[in-house]
Amino acid sequence: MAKILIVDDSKMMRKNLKKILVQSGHEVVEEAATGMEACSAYDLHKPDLVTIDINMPEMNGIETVKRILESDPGALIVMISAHNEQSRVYQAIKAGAKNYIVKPVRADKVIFVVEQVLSQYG
Amino acid sequence: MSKEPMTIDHCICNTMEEALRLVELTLDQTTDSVYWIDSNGGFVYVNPAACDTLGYSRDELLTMTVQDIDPNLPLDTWAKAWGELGEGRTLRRESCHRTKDGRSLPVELLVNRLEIDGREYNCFVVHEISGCNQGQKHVRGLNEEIELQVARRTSALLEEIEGRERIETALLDEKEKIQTILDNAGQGFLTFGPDLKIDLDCSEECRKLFDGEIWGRLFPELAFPNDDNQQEFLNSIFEDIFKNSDLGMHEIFLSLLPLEICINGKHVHAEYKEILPPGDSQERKLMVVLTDITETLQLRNQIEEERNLLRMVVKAVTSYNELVESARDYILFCQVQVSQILDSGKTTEDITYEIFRMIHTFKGMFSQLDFVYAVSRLHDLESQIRQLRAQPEKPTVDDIRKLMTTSGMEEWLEKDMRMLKDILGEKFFSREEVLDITPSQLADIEQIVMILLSPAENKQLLPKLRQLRYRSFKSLLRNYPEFIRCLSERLQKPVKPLVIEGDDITVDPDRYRDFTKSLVHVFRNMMDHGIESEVERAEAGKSEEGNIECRLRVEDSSIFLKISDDGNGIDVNRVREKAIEMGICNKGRAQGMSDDEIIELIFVDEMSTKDDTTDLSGRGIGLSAVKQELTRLGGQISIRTSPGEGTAYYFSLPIVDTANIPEVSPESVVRQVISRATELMRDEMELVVDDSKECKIVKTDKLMVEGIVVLINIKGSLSGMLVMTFEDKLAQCLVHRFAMDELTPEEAEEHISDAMAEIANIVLGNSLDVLPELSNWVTIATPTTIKAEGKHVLGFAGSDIWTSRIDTEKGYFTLSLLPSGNT
Repeated sequence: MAKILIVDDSKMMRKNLKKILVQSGHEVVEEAATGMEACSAYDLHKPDLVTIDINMPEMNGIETVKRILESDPGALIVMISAHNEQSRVYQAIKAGAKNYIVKPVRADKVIFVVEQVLSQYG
Repeated sequence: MSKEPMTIDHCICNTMEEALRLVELTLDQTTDSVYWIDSNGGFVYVNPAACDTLGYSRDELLTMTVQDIDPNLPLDTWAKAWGELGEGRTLRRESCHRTKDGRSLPVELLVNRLEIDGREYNCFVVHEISGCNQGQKHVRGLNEEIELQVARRTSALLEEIEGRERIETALLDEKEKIQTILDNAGQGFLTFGPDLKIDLDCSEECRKLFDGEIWGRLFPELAFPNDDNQQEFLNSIFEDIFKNSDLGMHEIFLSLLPLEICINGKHVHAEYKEILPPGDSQERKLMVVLTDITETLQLRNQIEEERNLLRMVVKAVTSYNELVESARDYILFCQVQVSQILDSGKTTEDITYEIFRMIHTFKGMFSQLDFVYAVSRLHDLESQIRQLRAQPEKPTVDDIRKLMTTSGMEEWLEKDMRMLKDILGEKFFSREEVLDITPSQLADIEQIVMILLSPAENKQLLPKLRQLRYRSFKSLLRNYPEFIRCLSERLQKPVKPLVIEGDDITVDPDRYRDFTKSLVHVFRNMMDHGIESEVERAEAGKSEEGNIECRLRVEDSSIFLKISDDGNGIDVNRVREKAIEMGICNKGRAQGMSDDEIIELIFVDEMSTKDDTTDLSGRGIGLSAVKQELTRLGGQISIRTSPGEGTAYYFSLPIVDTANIPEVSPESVVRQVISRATELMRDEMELVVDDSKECKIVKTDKLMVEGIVVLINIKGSLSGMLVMTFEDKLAQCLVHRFAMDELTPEEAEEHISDAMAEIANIVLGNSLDVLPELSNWVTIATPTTIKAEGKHVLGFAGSDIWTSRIDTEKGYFTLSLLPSGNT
């Protein structure tokens, strides 16, 4: 039962993720469509975990990771990536993200990773 | 003991007394037994030790002899031994003393001889050797044990060494085995540590994959020789893995590593595993397992291609019409419609859209037909158009035209069609649209044709129709060769392949099919009962393979079919017995029947001479079914059999051409019609009919008609015209009688023709019902009536007229049949 912030420029993706997370008992405190929104949403809600899409226009996912970690070094971040983006995921993890999920998102995978990160670092 | 006898003189003692006392003391103290015996063996002196050891008191002993305590010392042998010894010598001997309480003491005796004053004395010094022996034994035992132990330990050590050597060899073997396994696994195993240099121990497959030695080389370089970015990426990740001690993160990092690598043009699948040796001190390593999946990929692609091809073929066959249509439409589009649209004068936007839509539609159509190549090219064209439209500078009509004309789209169908033609044959596509007609539909058409057309016309049309439906007689038997082959295998009775030989004829399969199907019982019987096993045949001196023949002969109007085997023949006596057993006929009759008659019985239901009904036959129903079918067709069967030589079935079937429409003579038709007409007049119209003279049917070529003339056309197996004439006054009478109600004269006048037509119709119709062969094959047209004024002559060119005249009380009527030519 964690408070989660979803960051993705695709409304569809946000909707899907929200459904999965809510159905397994988590609370989606906010949805952000850009990196900037994400940062302010984070400061406002201080969620337990953030999911960030790697591919976003303007401020990309990795940037967003760095910014959020600047303001809260203990932030738990999970990246969402499309296939074949291993090097970018790697960068994100180097930047401080804890784990990643590859699209298309499946409920079981999402829950597994989210709960693993929460239990390991939360 | 010294060898020299010692005298007391030699003692250093001062007085005799002292010396004596010393000696006494010694003797008293010593643990050895000492005693003196005289020449008779009696004890003259015993020391305390002797008494203690032997258990006797001094006084007792002094009364005894040495023999009392030592039976081994008889005086006679003693003397002898003594004599040998001589003066001053010592006799050493082992013996056994007996104590007072009966114990045996093993002792060692040291005996000395002494002569004092002429008297001989023996001095015995005795000590027990049991203790000593035991001690020695003990020591010996200990020695032996020590030696044993040493030996054991040595052999144990040797064993251990051997054991270890064995283990070492085993280990080396195992290592070799593992190496062999690894080498032959088809997978490359390599390892490296933090320096990313590949270790020496890598499997053979690696050398194959990389075409040479790889140890010492850096893995990232090896994996991506031409891709600096990937190398950097790998370097970073590996660094992180080796530096970072958080194992959880390792999993994540490892999951980011590339799964597929291209090495020397081969597709290789890579799996990464971390090897953690026991104890932290040792170096962690990464193992990479490489699997060459080039072939697998190729196979997969091949399978995919073949599956596509299969789907396409199936669609082509099941949706043939759709395919032909689509192909036609597409060619039309490419060659004509595109230019039409381009030149239509509409806006560029509209033109582009329409062309796009058409392409999209065709893409869908060919996707349905699994034309993989055409679909992919159309898809590309679609994308190109889409791109053009998305450009900021809108395309012109000429741009589109250029795109379409340079695309070469007419040929896109060719590739897929070629594959289809290769499999289905060229002719497959030259067919017109194909219609499915069932045999029953054809049969219906045949029937209708036979009814509607004249025999002459039928003769022309029916054969063509029949050609569509009829089959060769041999084709009705086409399954039997395979049937025999299967039975031959199942029953393990070798048989030469069956060939249907002889004449052939086209027949109505519906008519003969049941018969040819029933022949299965004949063939089955032959295999089961007739043809013997290989062994039996060899014993009988017959050829290895059994022989079954099937021969057709067509003669005149009959088909002759002979089916024969060279097997056992029919055992007539068995049949006779079985017939009696089954109660088909009683003993007396059975005895009286000839062999041929007996054989006929096998066609009776429930007859079978085989006692155990095998799965195949022997249920006794089969052959009777054949007989039944034969009878239905009007055929015959005769059997010839010879024991040990074989059996032959001769079938004859009449060829019935169902084209044979029953032929009825016009004369008989007329006769029938007259009979009915007469009946009608007499019974229903209540007229008196003059049937005094027998009704004469005359053949003429001209017909005289007067009164009301009714003409009815007949078509079918009988063609022609029925003409019925009514004398006026008769007609007048009939109209009133025929009508239900009263008629006024005007009404009568009005209806008279109709009434006569009706009567003629009824008469003809009823007559035909009576002639069933005709009623199915003939149609009656609506009557035509003529009111003849006066007499007229009716001629019918080139044909005879069958006519007759009947008189009634009110007038006469005539009936004539004008058959149309049968030519």
